[in-house]
Amino acid sequence: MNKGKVLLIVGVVLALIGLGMIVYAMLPATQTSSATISNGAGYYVRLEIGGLMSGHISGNFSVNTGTVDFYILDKTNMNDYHNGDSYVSIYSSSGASGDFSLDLPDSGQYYLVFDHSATSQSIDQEVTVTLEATGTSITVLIVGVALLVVGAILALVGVMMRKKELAAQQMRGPTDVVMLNQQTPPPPPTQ
Amino acid sequence: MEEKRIAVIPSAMIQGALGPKEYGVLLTDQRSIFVLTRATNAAVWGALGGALGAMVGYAVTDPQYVAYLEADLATLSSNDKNISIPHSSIRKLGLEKKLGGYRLQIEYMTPEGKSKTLNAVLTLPPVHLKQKKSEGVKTKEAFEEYSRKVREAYEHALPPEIGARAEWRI
Repeated sequence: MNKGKVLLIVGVVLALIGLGMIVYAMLPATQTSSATISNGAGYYVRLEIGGLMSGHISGNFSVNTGTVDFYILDKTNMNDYHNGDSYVSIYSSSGASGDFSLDLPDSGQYYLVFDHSATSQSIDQEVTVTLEATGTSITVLIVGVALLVVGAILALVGVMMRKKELAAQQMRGPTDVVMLNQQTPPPPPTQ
Repeated sequence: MEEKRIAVIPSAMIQGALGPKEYGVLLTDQRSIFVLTRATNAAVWGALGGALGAMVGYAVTDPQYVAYLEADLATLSSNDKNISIPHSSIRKLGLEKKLGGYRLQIEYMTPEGKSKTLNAVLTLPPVHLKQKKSEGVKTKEAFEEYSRKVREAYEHALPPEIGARAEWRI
């Protein structure tokens, strides 16, 4: 197969994948997950989300028994929470179930944290969370744009090489109307 | 009497069900043989990737080289991919300048007795067009010259009684 053709096909495939990723990066994502908080103080479960431009999260949670404290923390406050230091949450609630909906302040990492409430420290608790995230995934977007650009460049180079290849092929045959009835030999190929 | 090769028209496009097909036309004193040189299957590519896919399909399809002087006429004629039209079967022939370019239209009777019409758009090989442009010839003029040569080729190839009925609107 000719190099130009290979480059063109590879370029177009990459560009199409890139385009697909750009679209995918902007689609909302929904996920449902469950986790168990082991009994005892100091145990908690968390769900990580982030890397979203104009991010918005919404969803609901429920617990199979007792009640939980629910927080949404940024990375710094997550570390503070983990280390037992004072922290500030951007969202909090308590109960056996609940809904939440909020805009993420920036494209950083955020954590959905579920902890035993004061009255449920001694039991295992299974938390089920349904989360829908909207916004643009920066990582996927960057990879998609990169693939699109690289693919477009490869395709462009492929087209230029292909033009030369096709021109060379066409030189093998007649390029203009040729009259043959004079019984003269055909003009020699110009190449 | 041996069949004489009269002329070769390097490129004409016929719209097929799966996309445009490129043909070279070998004119003899007895028939026109449209020899398939490039089938792009643009519809298939288009289904895969829209307009971009169709363009890619065209770009990646290699044209076939045909040895018009050496090729056996019976073999070319009997190839299912090619279209062979005996001059004696032609009911009407015309070359007309239309919006999409110069259109060659041939109405003819098949061996089965059915009436068929072939519509082909004359296309200039890019190499030829590039050469003409480098000589300062405009695209429109290059097409005019090409269509004139096609007319001359047909006038040489067709029997006088059919040639007299041909309509040239170029």
